[in-house]
Amino acid sequence: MDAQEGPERGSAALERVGDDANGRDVDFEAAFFSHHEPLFRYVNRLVGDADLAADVVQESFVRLLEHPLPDDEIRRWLFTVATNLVRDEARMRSRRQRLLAEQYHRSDLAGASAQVPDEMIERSQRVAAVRKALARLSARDRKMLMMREEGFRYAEIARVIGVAPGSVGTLLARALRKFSAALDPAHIEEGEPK
Amino acid sequence: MSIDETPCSHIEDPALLALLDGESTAAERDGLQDHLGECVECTRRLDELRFADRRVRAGLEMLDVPSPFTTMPPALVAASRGTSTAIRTPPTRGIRMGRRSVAAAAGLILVLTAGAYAIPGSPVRDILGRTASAIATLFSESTGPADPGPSQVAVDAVGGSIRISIVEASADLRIRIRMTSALRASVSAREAEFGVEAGAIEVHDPSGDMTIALPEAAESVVKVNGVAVARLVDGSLMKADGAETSPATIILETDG
Repeated sequence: MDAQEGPERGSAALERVGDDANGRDVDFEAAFFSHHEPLFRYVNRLVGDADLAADVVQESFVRLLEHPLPDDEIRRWLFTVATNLVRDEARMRSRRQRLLAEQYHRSDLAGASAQVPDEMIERSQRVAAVRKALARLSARDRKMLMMREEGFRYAEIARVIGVAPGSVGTLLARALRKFSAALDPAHIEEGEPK
Repeated sequence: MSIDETPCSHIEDPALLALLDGESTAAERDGLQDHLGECVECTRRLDELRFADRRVRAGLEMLDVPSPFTTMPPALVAASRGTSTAIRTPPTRGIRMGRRSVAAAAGLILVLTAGAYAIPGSPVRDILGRTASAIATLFSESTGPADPGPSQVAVDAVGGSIRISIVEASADLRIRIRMTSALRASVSAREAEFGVEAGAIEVHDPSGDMTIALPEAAESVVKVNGVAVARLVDGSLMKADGAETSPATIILETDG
């Protein structure tokens, strides 16, 4: 809820929901249940913070309520909004880095704690390794790879990320190889890419 | 998409990836397949890309956690009400007070960090918020096991507005609404389930008497089954048009 908007204005905005620009019914519930899971997965992979990802997803849907769209545009639109929310949040990066540092710290401490199951330590280390590998990519490349994983077409990726459609394949191929190399167990153990 | 070939006629990565991703046209695909059928080097590089693809997918899946949204969040439920598909499921990110758990919750104080509201600089806080941090206190005024009494939910809003949504209100529901000088909005009801998040309280399936206290300083709206029945604007509490047709009885009271 926007505190600068009173309930009157907020209600008016919400009452518009239900019809798209052409007066057709918009099934918001169906849109939510169709898209919230991949959107959450995408954002969580990007930010590494499930709580923050959940809030970004919720905010994206709040905005959808205020911008009725045809069904076939909703998915791309939601991912665009979520991507922009993530991008615009500069402080989030420092939080993510802090979380990552804490994760490493916890991993370090985990060896000294008999209370933490081995599999949890192992998983934590693997997640940290993936995050570290991702950190070697640019923000743009991370988003592109993750959108590809969500099944977006190159043209859609180009629109959301803001790159030329013809460059998507080149950027993706490069990012794919770079990320894969960074995930190589040998590289992870060394701590540096080849 | 053209088939990019190096001077020595090998296919470049973008075209190989486009083939894997189904982005090639039929003509491009035929040309690529013909070349791959004859070129060991390009076949090897295609296999490399396949391997990289699998490794990347497995790596990203390591990061996944279950989505917290098994149902629609209360803010979206309330906001979408009035559409053709009102959701009747309880919220996941708010507080749900089961009828049988009211007594057990006596004295329980939950501080809702409410996700991004507690994260300095988070997008939701910046965009939605400006209501600063939201603190919800949930407590029961239990009088004993035989009569758990009404439960009360309260939400603070520093500036901004408050939204109270009553869902599936029955005809015997009497809602008493008053202003309070406190900064906290509260809802007291018996036999109800509550959803709470920053600046919003949702009450499911209440019956009997319900009391709502709205802070004078905030702009507030009370909705019953999606229809506004009362508003507090500029320190004035007034019935909305929906009060006349609401299944519940709406009673405005002066803060005592």
